Amino acid sequence: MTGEKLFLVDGAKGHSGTFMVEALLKEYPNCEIVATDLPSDTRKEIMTKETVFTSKLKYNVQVLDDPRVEFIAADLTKIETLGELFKNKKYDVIFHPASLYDYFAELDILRKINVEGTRNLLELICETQDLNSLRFIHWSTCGVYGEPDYKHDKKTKYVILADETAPFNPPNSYNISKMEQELLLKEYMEEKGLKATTIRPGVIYGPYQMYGAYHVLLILKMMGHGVVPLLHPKKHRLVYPSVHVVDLSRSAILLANKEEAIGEAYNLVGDPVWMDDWLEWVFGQFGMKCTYLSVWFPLFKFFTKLATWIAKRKENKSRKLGVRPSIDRPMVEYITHNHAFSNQKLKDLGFEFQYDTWTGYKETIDWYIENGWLPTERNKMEVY
Amino acid sequence: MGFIEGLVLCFIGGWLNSYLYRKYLRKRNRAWLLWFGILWCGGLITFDFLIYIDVINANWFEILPWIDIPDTVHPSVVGRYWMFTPGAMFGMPMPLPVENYFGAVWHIFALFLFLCYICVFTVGQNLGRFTHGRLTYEKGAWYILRGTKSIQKSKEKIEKQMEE
Repeated sequence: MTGEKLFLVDGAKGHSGTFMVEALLKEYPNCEIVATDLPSDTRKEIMTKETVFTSKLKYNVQVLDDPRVEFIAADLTKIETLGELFKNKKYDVIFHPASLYDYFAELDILRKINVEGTRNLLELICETQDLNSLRFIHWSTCGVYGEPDYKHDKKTKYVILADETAPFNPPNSYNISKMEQELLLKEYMEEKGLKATTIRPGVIYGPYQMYGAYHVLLILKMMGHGVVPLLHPKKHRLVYPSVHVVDLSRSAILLANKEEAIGEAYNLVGDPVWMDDWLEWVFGQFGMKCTYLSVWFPLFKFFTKLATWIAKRKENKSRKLGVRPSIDRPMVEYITHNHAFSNQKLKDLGFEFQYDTWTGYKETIDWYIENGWLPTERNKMEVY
Repeated sequence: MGFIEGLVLCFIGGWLNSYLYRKYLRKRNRAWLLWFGILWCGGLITFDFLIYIDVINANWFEILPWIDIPDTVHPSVVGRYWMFTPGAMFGMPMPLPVENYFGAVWHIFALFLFLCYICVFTVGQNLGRFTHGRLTYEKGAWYILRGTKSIQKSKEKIEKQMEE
């Protein structure tokens, strides 16, 4: 490889990975990228989340056909398969979006892939790479905070956004594994001097997204009638934290070029929008009627607890039957808790978002409909 | 039947209307919603109105062994007694605590309840739309409430279709 810069992107067949590769090719036309992901058969076996509603959806993997991209299949959990990635290669930046992002997966599998897999990767990096020049960008999640103990603005009564200093309090298995991943990375930074930066994105959305934000949009579309809860008192009004996948890739590139980002973590969410505003707007985009329900917060909490209990029962039953539920339990918890995070630290570094929530979701919804990822009367898409 | 039973039937009819329309008839007959509504509500209102004005004599229902209209009810208001007494058709009458059903106020009350038939039918229809959707691809609130086995069946069905 004789390119201007050499990058490694793992999880390159996933949603963030494909967009990361695409962004790098755009930003550095002369770069060389080593892209890696699981071998196809193993990937199909593990990534059952990609077939929750239909088996027809595919990520933007054609980006890996670019001649500047060399794809090497490897499994983070099998250290012997990683050797090829580092053989005679000195990377400038390693982007690490690879993770099992699946709320239905059991904690031991999540730990094996997300924590032990990352350990294997870091071990090899420390053995083979020049840690003085290498930058490592790690994908975490805002979920590691759980629902922080928010303060409220005295004047408006609304919640004050939590910054990166909020303590870890992961509410589910996936977030526990991401927290442990961060703690592991911290060890390598302190002990080996690895120059790493952590990104903590909120709900990632954008074209080709098929788990998470896509779930919400598809379910709302399938329901055909919207309900918008208006919570009272207003200090409990929920914030919807999301980020466009393009902004995620752009921020990773920016952070890889900033010396002051070394050893730091950054929340990556768009400017805050209220959940009820967002829901109302989405129903409008789908041309659906919606009902507004003014709810006293304790009553809302009661119903969300009930919904979580139902989701938990369904999860247990699904495990017994060996199928996936259409909504994973932590997803129910997400839409009933407040996740209000500040992006100020990233903005202070000079990052400008390309998409605000409205334009980003407008483009995403249009893309889903044009490409038959959301059912309409015309495309006759069938979902499980 | 009485007003209460009529209203319940209208609600069920409204729900059933949107369900049948969504499930079977949308593609074949878009006027189905209207026709079903007219026939169901119109039929119920006409039948109950004829009972109310005693054209259909409620005493005729006493042919059924569990129905018994008390002799204390004046023969000229048997229809009104029948309509304003929930449960009479099931042999479990819960008569209103009034001495008789004479007076224009009962007619006003009855008119209001007959109009409610249409409103309740619409409420049932809207609830039906909410529970199982309106357009061909929509599945309504049922989509998030359905059980795991239902998801499994749906998956098997779609995969079989794809294979074929």
